[in-house]
Amino acid sequence: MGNNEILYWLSANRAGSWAQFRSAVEDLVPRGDEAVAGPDRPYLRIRFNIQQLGHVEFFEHGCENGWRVAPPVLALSEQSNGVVGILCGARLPNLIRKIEEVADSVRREQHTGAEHPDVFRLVGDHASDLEDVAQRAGVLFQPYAPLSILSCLPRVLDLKAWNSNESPLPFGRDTNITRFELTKRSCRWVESSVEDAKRARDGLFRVTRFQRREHYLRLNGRTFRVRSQVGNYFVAAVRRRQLLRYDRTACQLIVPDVCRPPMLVDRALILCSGFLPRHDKETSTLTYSDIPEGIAGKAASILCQDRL
Amino acid sequence: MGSVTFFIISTSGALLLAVIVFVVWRHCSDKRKRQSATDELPPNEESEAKANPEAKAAEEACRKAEAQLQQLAEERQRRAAEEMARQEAEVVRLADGQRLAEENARVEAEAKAREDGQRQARAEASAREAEARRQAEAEATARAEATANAEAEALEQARLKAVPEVKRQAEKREAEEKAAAEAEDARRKAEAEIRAQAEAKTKAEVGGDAGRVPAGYAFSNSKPGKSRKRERKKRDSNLRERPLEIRVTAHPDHHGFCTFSILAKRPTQSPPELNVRCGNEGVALIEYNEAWYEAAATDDLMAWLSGVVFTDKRKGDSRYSWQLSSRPLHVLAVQQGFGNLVSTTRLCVARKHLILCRADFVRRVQHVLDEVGCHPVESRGEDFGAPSGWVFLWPVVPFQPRPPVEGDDILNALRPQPELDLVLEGGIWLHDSTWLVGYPPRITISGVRPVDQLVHINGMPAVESGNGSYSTPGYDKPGDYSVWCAGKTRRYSIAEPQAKCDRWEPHTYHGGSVCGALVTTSRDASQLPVTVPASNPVLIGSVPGQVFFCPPQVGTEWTGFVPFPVVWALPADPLRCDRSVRKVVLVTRLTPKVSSARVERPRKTDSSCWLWCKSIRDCRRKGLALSPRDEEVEALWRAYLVRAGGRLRSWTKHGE
Repeated sequence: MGNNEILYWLSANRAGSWAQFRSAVEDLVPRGDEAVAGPDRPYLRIRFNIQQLGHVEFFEHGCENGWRVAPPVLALSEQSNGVVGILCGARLPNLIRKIEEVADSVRREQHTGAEHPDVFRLVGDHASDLEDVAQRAGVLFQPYAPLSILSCLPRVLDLKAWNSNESPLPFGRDTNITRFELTKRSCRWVESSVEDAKRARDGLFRVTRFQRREHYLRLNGRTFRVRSQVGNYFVAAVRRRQLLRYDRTACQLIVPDVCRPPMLVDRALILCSGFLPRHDKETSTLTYSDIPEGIAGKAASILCQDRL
Repeated sequence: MGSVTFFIISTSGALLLAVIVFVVWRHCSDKRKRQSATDELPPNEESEAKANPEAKAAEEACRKAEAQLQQLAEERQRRAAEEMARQEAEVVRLADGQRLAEENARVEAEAKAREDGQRQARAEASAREAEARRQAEAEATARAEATANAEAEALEQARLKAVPEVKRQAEKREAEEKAAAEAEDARRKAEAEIRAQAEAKTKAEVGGDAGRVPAGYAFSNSKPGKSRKRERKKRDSNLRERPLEIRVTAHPDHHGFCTFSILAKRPTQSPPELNVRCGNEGVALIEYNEAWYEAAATDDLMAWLSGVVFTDKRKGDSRYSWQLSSRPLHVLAVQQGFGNLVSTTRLCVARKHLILCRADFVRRVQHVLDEVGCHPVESRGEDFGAPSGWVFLWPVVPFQPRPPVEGDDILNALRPQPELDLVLEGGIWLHDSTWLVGYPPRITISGVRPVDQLVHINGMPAVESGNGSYSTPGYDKPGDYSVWCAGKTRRYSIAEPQAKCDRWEPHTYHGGSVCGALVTTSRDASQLPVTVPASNPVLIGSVPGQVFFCPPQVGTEWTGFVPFPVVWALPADPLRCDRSVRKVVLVTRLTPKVSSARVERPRKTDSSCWLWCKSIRDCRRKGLALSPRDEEVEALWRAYLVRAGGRLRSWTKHGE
């Protein structure tokens, strides 16, 4: 049993609550596996990875109280040496068998990861080859998936478009507050208090209550409830701090690990190759691979970064 | 005070009476003296006295006063006597009341004492009866056990002698069960047919809309039952009266470290988080799954393991309480629906357990584990995650059943019972008793399987693999299965769902919606992405009027969707750019489209046709180089120049 089986279980049940997901992960992931050891619970990391790979949506519209599996889709991404199709969404053993049967004209790749289901990649010369495979396997086809996703997204400075509404700061006895500190050399979360947050005219604050995190952006004395990553890049854009770095020779996009891009930007960057970003603990960075410069530029424009 | 007043008045009255009596006596004695003197006188003197009227009147008045005084004295004496009589009667009445109350109290005390005596007698009698009954039951149990043991021994001997007969009987029993099930199905089908025929007949007889049975209506033979609402209410109320269950859960890792926590039963429709009280402390219960809460991490775990009660902080009727009874050890094992090891009632043969016990109890535990054939297991303490004062033993696998020992209640949980049970575990469990195809349950046996009893799956004898699980060919294919062994039956199903899901819109923005990797936009699906140098943001198509200005983008390249096939990428302002750097970039080799219709001069200079022509002409006027530079590209560029120049000339001429 492993991460593939979690995706099978999710795909067979299609939707459910967070408690069901957590219970299933603890049931199916081997206990005490070194691969899943770490400061966070394994189900949190697996949830995050499954979500970023476009298999399952969590706590979004249509699954507010839990999760829901996305339709199976072959997401196309253009690379310098051809086109790559990544199998996303619901996945069951019979679907894998079907794809293996029909994908005779393209190259199949299966990559096993530590805390996510296997990455199935179909590599071909033309997009039409992959479209044909998807049609015969009975899965949907999404051409130019990274660019398509990025083309839907607004810039992070447009808080309203990111569904960030004005909201009062929370308070209470069990409230723990940290503040996002962004300097020239580092960005980190530092201890703060409700009083500091109320006094601050600008800044991003993270409120933890009952083990749940909420993020509040203070802007000209007003408070907006935002998504964490949107808040990070909003602050960076306002202060003109450069968080992204693009390596043109290696086609890699590098970001600080505490400033992971917003979820859909992150998903678009991951779908360029099908692989999750590599985490470098020494430099505290995340590295996305096989990112074309145009996609990196598009992502940087959404994140309101001045340059790459 | 009243009595004193009465005494004074009566005394003074008596004195006055005595004075009056004395005065009257003196007056009478004087009168008698005078009468005697008169009687002694000669008749002359008597006649003289009779002849005196004043003396007669005085004598008459004196006589009347004497009579009045005597009457008054008698009246006073009578009143005094009455008053005395009344006082005596009052005293007597009070004395009677007190005596009556004393008498009543005495009677009540006597009755109570008599009743207590009777109750005690009854209790003693019932105790004697219970003792006698218990002794009789014990004797009967002992006799029954002896008989059962004898019978079991006899049966065992007979069974060992007649194994084939047992097998045949088992097969016969199975066949009978199967036949009974088939008969039951047939009976249900027949009933359904009869019912359908009756309905059809009724419809035919009644006819018309008036007597038609409404669609979806089914005749019911069942009696009206209790209201579900009432039953639920009753169940809930029972739930609230009884404390809910608390279990211990453990998560061991490969390094021998183990994490412990507390699970509390979650009532139906309860919130995902709940604050409860444990003594004077508050405890947060957080949703673990649909049926359980997990207590937030705390240092009180060591105290809770010895017994704890949680009470609901909320006000109102829906308050709950949870209880973990006081105990020195906990037995944990893997159970369906839990990812970790969870509290269970006792050890089972050939299954893996974790035992968490108090440090002072571990010797007794290990002694019992030796009895049940466990391999020696080292106890681990706080260094391996056990709560302070507790140790755990992992993994504990008993191999021999042992009978419980009287008076050794808590340690009896470590003595596995020999009863056989079928266990379905592992695989990918979906819901109820359904597993995913390709990931069937692992079928194992808990307890001791009789030597002559085989495990059957859908009637086929199952084969035991090396790891203790049973299987038959095709037992993991889609369908329904029944596992049977020695009278125990478990059923399971294998399902093969399809990975088909509906598309929905979890992320919606102004540019479209995203679901997984699937994007829904209002953009034409035929639009293709284009990547051009960021320095050439003016994109030209093959048809005059196809011009697109790229929005600003970070980086040296621009990528995006363009609503037409792009042929050329031109600098933004060709007349003001550096010709040594800027070039005209070919994107797609498409010849310019020729339109036969006469083109009217655009009324505004910023129209798309005008911009298309002007952009091409400005690049020519600036003399920008082409990229790539070859003859075909130059020929294609000339064709576009001709098209743009001709159109501009025609507009100019037409305008002049």
